Amino acid sequence: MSTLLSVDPVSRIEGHMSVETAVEGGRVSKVRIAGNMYRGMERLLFNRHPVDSARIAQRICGVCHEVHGISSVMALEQIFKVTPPANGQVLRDMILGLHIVTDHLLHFYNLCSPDYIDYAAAAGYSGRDANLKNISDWISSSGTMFVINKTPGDYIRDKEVARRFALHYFEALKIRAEAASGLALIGGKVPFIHALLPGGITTEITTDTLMKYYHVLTKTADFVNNSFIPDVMVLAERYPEYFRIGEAYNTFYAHTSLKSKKGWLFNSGVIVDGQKQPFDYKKVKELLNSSFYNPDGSPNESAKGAYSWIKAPRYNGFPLETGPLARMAVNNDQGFRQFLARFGQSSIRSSVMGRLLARAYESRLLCNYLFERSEEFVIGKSTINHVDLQANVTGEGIGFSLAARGALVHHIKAYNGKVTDYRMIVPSTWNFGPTAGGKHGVAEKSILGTPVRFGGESGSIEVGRVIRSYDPCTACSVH
Amino acid sequence: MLSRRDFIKRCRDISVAVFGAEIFAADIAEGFMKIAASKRPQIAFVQGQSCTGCTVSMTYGNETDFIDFVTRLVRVQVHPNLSFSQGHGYMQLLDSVTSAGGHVLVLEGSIPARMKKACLLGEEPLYNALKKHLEKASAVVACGTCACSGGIPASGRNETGSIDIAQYMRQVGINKPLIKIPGCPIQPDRLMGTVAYIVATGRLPEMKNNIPVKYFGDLIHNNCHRFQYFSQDIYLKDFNTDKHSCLLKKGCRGTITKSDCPTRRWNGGVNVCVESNTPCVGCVNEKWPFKENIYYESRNIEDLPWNDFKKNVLGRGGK
Ligand code: SF4
Ligand code: SF4
Repeated sequence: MSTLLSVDPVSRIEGHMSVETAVEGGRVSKVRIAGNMYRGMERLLFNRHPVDSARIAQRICGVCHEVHGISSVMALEQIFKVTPPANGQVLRDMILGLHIVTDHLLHFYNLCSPDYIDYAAAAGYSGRDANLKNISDWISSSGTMFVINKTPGDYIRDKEVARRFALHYFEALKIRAEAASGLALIGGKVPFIHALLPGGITTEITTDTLMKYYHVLTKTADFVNNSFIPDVMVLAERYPEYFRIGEAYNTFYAHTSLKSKKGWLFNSGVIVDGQKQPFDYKKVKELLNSSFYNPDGSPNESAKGAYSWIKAPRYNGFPLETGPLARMAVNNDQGFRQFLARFGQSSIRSSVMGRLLARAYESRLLCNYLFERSEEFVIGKSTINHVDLQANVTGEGIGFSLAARGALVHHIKAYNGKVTDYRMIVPSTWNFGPTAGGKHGVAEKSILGTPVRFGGESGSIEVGRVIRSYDPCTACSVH
Repeated sequence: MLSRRDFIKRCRDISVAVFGAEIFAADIAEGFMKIAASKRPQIAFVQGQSCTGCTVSMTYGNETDFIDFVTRLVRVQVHPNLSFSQGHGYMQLLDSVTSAGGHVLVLEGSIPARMKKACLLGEEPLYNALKKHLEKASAVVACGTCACSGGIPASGRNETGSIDIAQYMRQVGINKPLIKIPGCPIQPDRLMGTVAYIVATGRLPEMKNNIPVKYFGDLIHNNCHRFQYFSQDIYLKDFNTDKHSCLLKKGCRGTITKSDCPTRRWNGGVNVCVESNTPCVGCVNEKWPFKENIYYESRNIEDLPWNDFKKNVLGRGGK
């Protein structure tokens, strides 16, 4: 006898997603993850001028709001045969890196932590900390319902811990807003910087800009070191079983990204069957069998056998996991391995806790990188090379880049100043694609076998934890 | 978060910053203080075909602080990205708020009217499900250009038959006070400030075509720091060597787009598109993302194709 349990919709993620599971003998025996919103981002770019994609493809997602712009512009630069000056590259990295850290903070505190912390336990505070008093009063008497958690589970109910997390929940929002102002200084505004064009960054950068950026970076780095990392460690100690829950195929995928004088911060590669191999774009195929599309790629909401708007990317037939954990695995990062060793983990394996720890560890890595990288900016030197924004270009460009959630590709074909084909292969598509070609998608695979102790009408919190450990971005995954 | 005294001061600041007039300050502060926590207006937030950029923008704040907004002014009852509940429990909370009524419904994103499965709310297509959440709302706020005028999902071939909230309400026969806050994404003050104003005064702000005049009354062009360059016909050609001239010939939509971006600015007031030396793309414009190219390299400004531009600007300023 199996029980059907669904989480529909999955909240605290980007976008529209649902998960159906069957539970047998206390474990998930069947699973289906569906992406439930489609806009047709690739198809609406058809016949537009390629440069427009710098602005339109950028809006595929407002959470990872800078990554798509950058990947798209990298592809455009191949079509326009231009490279940005060194300063332009530095600025882009400064945007990309800081943005990814803020994305990680949003994920951990605002999206994911309510899976583990019972914030109601933070109420009833009567001590001296005015901030905490306000938060505690607000939780208990404001009648705000978004903080009600109706999903039963084994939450941390310790008052001290809940209060610490409650403070950080709000502090993370503040830090993010400040970091955003750092990005806006360079890019005009966020979400969606407009100073980013093929050829570089349009903004005039002064010492003042750099000092202000440095200031918010310092604050962000302090928060990462003093709050984020210790807080993730609290969860890792309290929930050691999640080092075994949420294991996908242990296949991983990452691109080279973020260069500095020391070389690349992240290496490129694919790990399948425990073997690392160079990434070969030609081996990537998107299967449509379980998705709402016709074979020609046009949308079809009644396509036979379909249950998701997300396509199913495969690498030589394999589903690949991507994200911060995959970057650590592909890099075989020694620092991260030592970090894992503190919790008795001897290797980098796919798991819920592995993903959470990798995100925190990567945030520190990125902050350190940004301190160095921003020093490479040379005041007074050019930040952009000229591009004729209306040129009738013909050609093809592929931007291999990264998002907080993993490896990212924008692939543009243009003929005579018009987009003829636009293809995005996005991290959440890899992680959340449906079952196809006889294989479950990555997140589906990792939900199979998840022990369910707290199933109920809201679905199981354990399944929720596995899903959110990937930081799903459904708008991106479908686009 | 703030002490009570700071809060009253903050209300004054908000009203000066947001509404440009101190006269509102008393109303607003008084309005806030009068409202017991449990009586603050209830917000139910629904996402259609959206990218969540509008929500993210709101959390970044500008003059209006998101945390104050959530903890002091309103009760955000349901929000897909914030709600601690999931699945059925989440839908129950949404249903309980919207069936009791009196809530402000905020919609981010557009609604697919033809290909209805292109956006679900829980198990149902949004197109079918949204009506009941609107029926008892006291007001409807369209958050962002997608919700206001279709925006990106409705552009190009619009294969999903994406429509905005006003079209939707007409199709399903619902008539409610509608406030549109365009922007791709919204600028946070404009959303939170408008809601704060309504909460505090019990009135709708002055609006034209359902859009608050205070924020969207004048062309960006008219308040632009580069207007002098425009009036002297000095136009930017090369982004690398020129950091100051008018961006019109690169396709700047400031001439056809009404918003207070140049004065309100973004992300704590640190910057705004034109000041970062890049053309306004007109993301608050109801035509966003436009049929024409976003960028131009025009030699004559007469070559720029927008009709409203020809009507508003040509022949009055530069050539
Ligand atoms: S208006 Fe723009 S930012 Fe807002 S949801 Fe739509 S695409 Fe995203
Ligand atoms: S065209 Fe654009 S850059 Fe030039 S003055 Fe008008 S708003 Fe400013």
